[in-house]
Amino acid sequence: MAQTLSITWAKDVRTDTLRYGEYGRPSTLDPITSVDAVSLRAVELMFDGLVNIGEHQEFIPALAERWSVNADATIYTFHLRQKVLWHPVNSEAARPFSADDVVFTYHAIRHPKTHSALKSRLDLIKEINKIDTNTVQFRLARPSANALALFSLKIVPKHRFVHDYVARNDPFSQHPIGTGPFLLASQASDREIVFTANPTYFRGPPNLARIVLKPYSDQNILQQAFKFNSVDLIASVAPRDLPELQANAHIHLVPYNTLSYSFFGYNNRNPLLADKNVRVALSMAINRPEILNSFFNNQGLLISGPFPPGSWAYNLDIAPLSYAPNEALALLKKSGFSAAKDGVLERHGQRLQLRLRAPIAKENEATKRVVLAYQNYLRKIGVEIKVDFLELQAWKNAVFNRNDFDIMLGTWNFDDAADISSLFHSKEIGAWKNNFGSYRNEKVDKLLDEGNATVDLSQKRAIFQQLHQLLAEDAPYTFLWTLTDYGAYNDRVRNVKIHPFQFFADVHQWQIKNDTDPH
Amino acid sequence: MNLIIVTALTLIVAATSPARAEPISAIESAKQAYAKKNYDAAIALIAPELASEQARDPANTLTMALLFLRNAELHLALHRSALRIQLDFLTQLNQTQTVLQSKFVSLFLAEALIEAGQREKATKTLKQFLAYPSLPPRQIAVANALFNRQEKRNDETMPSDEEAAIVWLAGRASQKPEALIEPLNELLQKLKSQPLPLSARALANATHIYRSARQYNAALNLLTQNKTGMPAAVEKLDESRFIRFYDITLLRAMSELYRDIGNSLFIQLRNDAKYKDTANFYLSESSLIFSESSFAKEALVLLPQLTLLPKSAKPLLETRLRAHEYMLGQGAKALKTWADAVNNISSDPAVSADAIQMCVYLDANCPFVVKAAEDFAARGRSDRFVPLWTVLGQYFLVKGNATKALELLETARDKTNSFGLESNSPGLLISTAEALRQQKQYPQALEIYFNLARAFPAMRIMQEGLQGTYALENRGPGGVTIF
Repeated sequence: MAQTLSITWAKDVRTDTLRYGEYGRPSTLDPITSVDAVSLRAVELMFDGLVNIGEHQEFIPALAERWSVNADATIYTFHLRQKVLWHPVNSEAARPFSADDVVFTYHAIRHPKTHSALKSRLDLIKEINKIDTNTVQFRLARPSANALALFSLKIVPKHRFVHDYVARNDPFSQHPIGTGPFLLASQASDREIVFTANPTYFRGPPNLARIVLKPYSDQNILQQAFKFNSVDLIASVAPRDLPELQANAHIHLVPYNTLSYSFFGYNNRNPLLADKNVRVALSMAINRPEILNSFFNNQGLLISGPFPPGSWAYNLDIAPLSYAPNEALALLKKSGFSAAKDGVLERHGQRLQLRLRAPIAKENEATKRVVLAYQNYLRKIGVEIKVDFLELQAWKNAVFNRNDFDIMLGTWNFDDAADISSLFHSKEIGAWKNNFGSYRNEKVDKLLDEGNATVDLSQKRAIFQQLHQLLAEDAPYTFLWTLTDYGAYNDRVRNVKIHPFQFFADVHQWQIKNDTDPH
Repeated sequence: MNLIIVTALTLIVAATSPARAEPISAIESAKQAYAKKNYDAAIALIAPELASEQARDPANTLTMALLFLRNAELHLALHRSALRIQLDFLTQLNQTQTVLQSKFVSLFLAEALIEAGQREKATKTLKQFLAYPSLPPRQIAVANALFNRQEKRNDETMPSDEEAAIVWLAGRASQKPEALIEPLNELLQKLKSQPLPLSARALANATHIYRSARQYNAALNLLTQNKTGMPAAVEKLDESRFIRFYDITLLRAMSELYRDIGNSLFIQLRNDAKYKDTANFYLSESSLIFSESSFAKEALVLLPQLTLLPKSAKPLLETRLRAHEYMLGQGAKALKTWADAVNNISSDPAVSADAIQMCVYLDANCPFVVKAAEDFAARGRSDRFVPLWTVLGQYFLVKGNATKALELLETARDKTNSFGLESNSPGLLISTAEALRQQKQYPQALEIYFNLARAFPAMRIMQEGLQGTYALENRGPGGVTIF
């Protein structure tokens, strides 16, 4: 293996090309329907928003060079940067970016036929008006504490769409163009995706000539490829590889995606799982500290609710559920279950048998072990779990589109807002929406609405901490842990700054060391 | 955290470990907790043993003294960091127009300002608080006690509220503290009979009084039998919304208590021929950690005479000696000695680290020493360099260069155990979190606190303060992605 990969590197290396490895392919390169982290990273290379969020949490101009807000903070007027060009298509001349594109993008996201996780975030926008070619005005339904964040969504070119909505299979996703630092040069299924520098990028032409995204369907091979220099950068290091990479002076580790957590999610469409006692019992029956210790070398923190511990919303008073199989069994009995002859619990003749669907490549041992441990713990209290390991895209389709699962294993990544509305609000139930488990709780809906409506951020924190308590008690998920993710790059790559939530925010400044550069 | 300390304690642990299976003593258990860097747990284990026969064994006395000194140093670092966090958070909260405006914020901001030595601002903020209508009597009494202390007014009447009375007593602890013990005990008894747990404010002020009166056992009992992560006050904003406020003086009270107990044990050890030099070495270190110049003259006489020290401690005597001279105003000589220690061709990373450590302890400007140490550290690869990377990071942090600090601290941090204490010193983790906080990388800083607070619950003030700042400053658009 080592020899093969070394040879690959020797042939492949370009002094002006960054090669980065991903576990899996982007499901789409269109920023409106992207929901997975691999897609969103690729999208960052090609697209910009009206504003960006700087490394110190400040809003910085992007496609809008300045903006103004009226006295009651309900009208935002953006003055667009002039002379920004869309990436050229074939031999056509590049078209200029304008207010029409901004209006189109925001209307398209809100269109009923568009399946986008971004949609609910735009509820606050009442009206979008083009004032002139370079000026756009947004009217909000009410003031919001963090309204500018709405305008960091990536803008797409109106002239590349036939409809006024965006479908997941829109031809645009195969031939996307943006205003960003890199433009798509080639993509073929099962092969690498190549981006080339945009020489007219408004923040200045990138230092790198090309970026090559190399998708790997096997996480182990991805890690090997990085160790043997087949790729210069990976977005996520497997915990077991940390000691080796840390000891290598030519490799730099950068914490990334710290606002994330893993969970088992339950499908409330199944009446068995609509019973709160069942969900709580499943959570209490598994020994999470032991799993974290055994499979992740304690490389993470157990959590008690729907926010990561690095978030401002985490309720520090709520302790993670203890491992208590006897209490779990008692809860199930309270809900009317009793053991059948073979030990499996049943109620009114219906066996407590559930189907778990997890995304996995054949070598991803940690995920496999977590799932099998979960299955074993539940078997001990008489719950039968049938496990399906699905390829990533098939899993997303089963869970998010067809909702064909009882239990799923997943990991959410959040930005600073720690916004869980799309995960638990009842209006977020539907195809390709984030409330895939059809979870409904009026109190949760009310608190989410209150939290999103308030302009008082301290109050919002108090509301979210109440939500934490409520969701911890109601257990729509078994909340597992947050793992510290590290991105890693080798010392060919220079001038790297990785934004905590937007991996490629400053990629136009990155450089590749030429062989002749001094060390 | 000095290498020498770790070495010394390791030796003690090895020398006194039971050879065969037998009931493990509290002191042995404490050593094991210490080895896992769980200092609070170690102290809780040895607190009841301080007067025991076992504790009088000199080796055990040294172990206990070191535990207290290390925990004192850690709580000092926690206090400094907590104070910055509180000032940031409470200042922002006080300035933010909110729907449910907090009144208590100005009281707790005033306390933080007093702690930071910003007297005028503190007085102004206390007045702001006292001007609010419909304040709870307890908070008014506390504010009045603080205000009178600030204004050096001799208010003779002890407040009727028990908690405010303890604050009032603490203001008198510098004179005849022994006379305060009886009323303090009565007040604590009354508070304990109430359904709510003892507040951080009561704990902090009572600890301060006990320490001032050298009632160390009483102070330790109080801290180990009560939760140190409790708020000082909870303000009810409406039927379902509360804000919790914490006492910034608690971490300092704990640090000073641990320092004083550690010092008293070292002083006790001075009577033992075998350990007296080691005791004097650490007494000198204690005074450097807390920048106490009162010991400097004595140290200048003592340090050159210390011969019965572990081999690894001897090269540090010179850097320590100069540190005491520095405190007495002889800076140039100190800087030259420290630079020589780092520039020496056969430099030992531990000695270089100690030289920089002196700069950190004394908040000295050591650009040339640090430059040389940086060059040396850049060549380092092995774990031996961890203390040097750490202390260099701490130096840059103290000097306000969080970017550079973070780079060095991240080089020092063992990432194979996340932010765990198992493979990293708490001092390194606290500095890393502070550098991250200053860089506004709040989630990672909060993760470090989350992990550490399991071992050091009094850190809750830091968690709550940073969460509060993060809530006010977060700018995320609300992105959520699945993997």
